[in-house]
Amino acid sequence: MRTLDVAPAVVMLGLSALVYAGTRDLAYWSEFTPGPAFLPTWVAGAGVLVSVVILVQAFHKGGSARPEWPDKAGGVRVLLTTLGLILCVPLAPHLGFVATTVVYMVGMMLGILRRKLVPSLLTATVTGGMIYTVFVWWLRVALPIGPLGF
Amino acid sequence: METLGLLGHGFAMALTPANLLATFIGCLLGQMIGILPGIGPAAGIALLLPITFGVPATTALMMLSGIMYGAMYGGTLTSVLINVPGEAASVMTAVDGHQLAKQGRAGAALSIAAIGSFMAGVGAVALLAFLCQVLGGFALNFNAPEFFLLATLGLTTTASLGSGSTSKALLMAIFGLMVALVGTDPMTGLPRLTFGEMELMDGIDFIPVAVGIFGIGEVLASLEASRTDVSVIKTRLQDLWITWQDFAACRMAILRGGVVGFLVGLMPGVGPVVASMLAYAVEQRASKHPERFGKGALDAVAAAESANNSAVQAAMIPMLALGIPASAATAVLLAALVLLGIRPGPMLMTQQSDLVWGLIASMFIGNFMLVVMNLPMAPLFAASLRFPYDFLAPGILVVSLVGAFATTLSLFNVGITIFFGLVGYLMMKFNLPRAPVVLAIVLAPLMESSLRQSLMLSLGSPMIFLQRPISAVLLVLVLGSLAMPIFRRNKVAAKGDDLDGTV
Repeated sequence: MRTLDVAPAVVMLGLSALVYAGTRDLAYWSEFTPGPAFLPTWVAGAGVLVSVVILVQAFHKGGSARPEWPDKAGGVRVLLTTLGLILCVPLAPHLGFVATTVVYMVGMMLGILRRKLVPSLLTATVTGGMIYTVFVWWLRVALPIGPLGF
Repeated sequence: METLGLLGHGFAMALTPANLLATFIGCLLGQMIGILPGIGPAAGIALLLPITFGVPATTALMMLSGIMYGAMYGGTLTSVLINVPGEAASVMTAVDGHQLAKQGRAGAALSIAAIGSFMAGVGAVALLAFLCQVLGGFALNFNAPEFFLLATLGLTTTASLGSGSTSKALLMAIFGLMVALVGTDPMTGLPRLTFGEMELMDGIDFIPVAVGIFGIGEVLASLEASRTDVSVIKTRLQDLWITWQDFAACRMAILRGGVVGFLVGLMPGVGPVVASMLAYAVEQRASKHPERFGKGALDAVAAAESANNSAVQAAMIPMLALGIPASAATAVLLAALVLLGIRPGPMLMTQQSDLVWGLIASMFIGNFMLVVMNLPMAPLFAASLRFPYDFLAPGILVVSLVGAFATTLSLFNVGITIFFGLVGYLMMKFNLPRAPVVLAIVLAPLMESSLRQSLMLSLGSPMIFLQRPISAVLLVLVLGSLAMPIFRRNKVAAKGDDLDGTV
């Protein structure tokens, strides 16, 4: 099966249905003007149309075309990096934004990318320092602050 | 004459210490972004946008546009010295540039690339100065129907003229429109597609989407393969001078590349990648020695590099004069303008002429700065290629998160950025173009408001799009851009039949 074509088309069919269902209760047309559901309805319709065209093209072409997924080690690197990023969101208000980014960078360089300790610590500290200087000290962005004060 | 006077005023603005510094920082950052794999100009501008908050809009714009065209110069270094394009638009440079480097002519390749980029860039900016005014004046006749069709044309040409599948590009533009629909209806104020989530009432901000799709997505994809430290072909300052014969042999390639790049750059959604590929193909046809292409042709490098830089500068014309971005990077720049409180479009040339002419003058200066950075300072930048990517990737990711937070001070936006980072990664896996998503998000508000205004004016009749001459022409262009891929496919199929017949 041509997963490369079929999967995006199926996902977009689902999203089109979601857009249509999510705006079904809104007005398509008000008295003098198109309503809030006007454009979503047309966009959902276009989504269905193009998805169907892609599905038909995929079945017409036949054969097999699949995405090139990484090997196991590469997949683990991508997965752990993403999980680490997700973990940063709940950690930042408690640990402080800058401290969270430093912890994340050290964890990623040592645990995921298997780099040496000293250069990893140095890189994380310098990057954290630059983030603090630019965003907190210069731009006065109110990044969440933790017990360490940054 | 009036144009020259306005340009002179622009130079007076661009040459103030603060603006000169902003242009220099923008060009330097662009140069570095071009060198670094895993981050392109669109993500670079989106990431660095928060650092322009608090500075005057003109200064901010000079810096951000410097990042955009600076990346075109920087991408050459990695293409020539390690055969890895730091920026997608430098792919064609790598083909011949790295072969030249292997033959001991890295300096000549870098030198002709810098000179070609500079000459084509300056030429394109000169045309930009002239055309922006003409186009802006013409666009004063535009009303809601024209703006709707112009924005639609921006999306359909992205799909039909891009290098990948047309239907997939259209699908991604529709996905971008869906993302842009989330939030509050602009006319009635009713929540739309928020599913009861208060954080979604303001809509999905453009910056987290762009940073996620281009920045995080790209880094995740680059982490798939474990990296060994790269071997960089060494280049010395004394190697960077080319002979007059080399330049004379490449001067027409620079001219042709510049013209091709400029014309391609004007078209919405096509951008510098297609420009450099097309210029390479044109040059191969025009060259007296086409057999050298792919084996180390200096004129091939000159054509590809002139084209990508010219295209980037030309892409500013539809963005400034019409408010329609021609590439992913100009889409981010357009969003940046809106965040800085400036509405690009026909009125910009009259209402904010200082800004436009200051920007144009800064582009002349920026190109000059970049040629200096890329000739005597090329060995210095080449040394930065020895810095292992594994130490850069975590930095890019955390700056993405901080940048996303800084735009709205919301951790929800950080979550949105990570989500779109995953979406961007999956899009790369499934060969889905990412630029149409970003273009659609930027164009959606203009599309929706002008469509609804048009139908309000005509009391619901779609005939308004045919009754006005300019909108009728634009409608034909929209339909033509949708029909072109079908026409192209039929032509390819017919050629295939002919070939079958000859075998």
